[in-house]
Amino acid sequence: VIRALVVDDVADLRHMARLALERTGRVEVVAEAADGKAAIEAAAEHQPDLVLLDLAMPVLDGLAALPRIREVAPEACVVVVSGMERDAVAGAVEAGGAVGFVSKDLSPRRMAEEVLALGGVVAAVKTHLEQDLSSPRSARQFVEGVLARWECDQQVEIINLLVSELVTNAVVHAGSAADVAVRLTDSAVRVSVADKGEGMPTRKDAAAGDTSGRGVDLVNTLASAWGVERLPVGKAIWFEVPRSC
Amino acid sequence: MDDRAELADTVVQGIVKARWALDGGDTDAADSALAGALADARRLLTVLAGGGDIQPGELKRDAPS
Repeated sequence: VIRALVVDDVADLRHMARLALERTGRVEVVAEAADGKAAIEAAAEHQPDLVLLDLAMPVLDGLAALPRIREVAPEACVVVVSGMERDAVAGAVEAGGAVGFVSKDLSPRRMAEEVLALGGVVAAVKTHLEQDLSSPRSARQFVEGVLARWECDQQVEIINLLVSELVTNAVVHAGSAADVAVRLTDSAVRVSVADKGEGMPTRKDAAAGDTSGRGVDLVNTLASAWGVERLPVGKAIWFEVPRSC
Repeated sequence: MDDRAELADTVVQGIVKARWALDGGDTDAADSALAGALADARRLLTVLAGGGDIQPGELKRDAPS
């Protein structure tokens, strides 16, 4: 279980963040703090694995507290969770040693998921898409949103094209819902699309007039690496594109 | 109306839009209006905090929100 410290000057938001984190089943919130000074004291006392840090707070703001939290709890991953615009604080957040920034615009569930992904607690951010022709578009929106929030979206057009092809294959050819997962490796953005279809992907020589049959070919051409994993039911096709962040 | 007041007015209008949409039972429109209002409010916050590249100490509040 990951031990977390939640820092926010709004008691209701601390409470909701606590609930969202603990509902993941991966996190125990061991302390809360309502300002930067209290956060430093709580971090020193509890030595949390993960710190969710708000920025605009009384006594001492989050940006000023950040390097001191890192000093007193050097093992802690600090994720900034703020209503500020990312670009306005990105320099100080990075200089202070935070592992990432999550916007308060997100739903509590999504916020918790992204905090855990940035903190290295979970490997990937995932979404489930129904067997529906609108799912490729939903997949693109999901991936685009995640990469934008991670400031890792320079290759988003290629990634969107590939994820769109794979989700279309899942929905149309495998006749299945799709689970899309995004994660960062040391050198790449890795996206996987899992479906319940039994068939394995094959490269085809699509004729000029064909309107389908190019998905795997595109993945093979545009991804830096790709592969297929058999699942107990179905398969997951993954691809990597060099990361820009 | 200066830029900041105009931005604040946009935030208020967005929240009103969300409230009216909720009142009409349209949660998707309310969610969308709220997301827009939040983005506008963040932009306003950045402007009021002195623009980009905010430094440690510049976000200290006088009282909790």
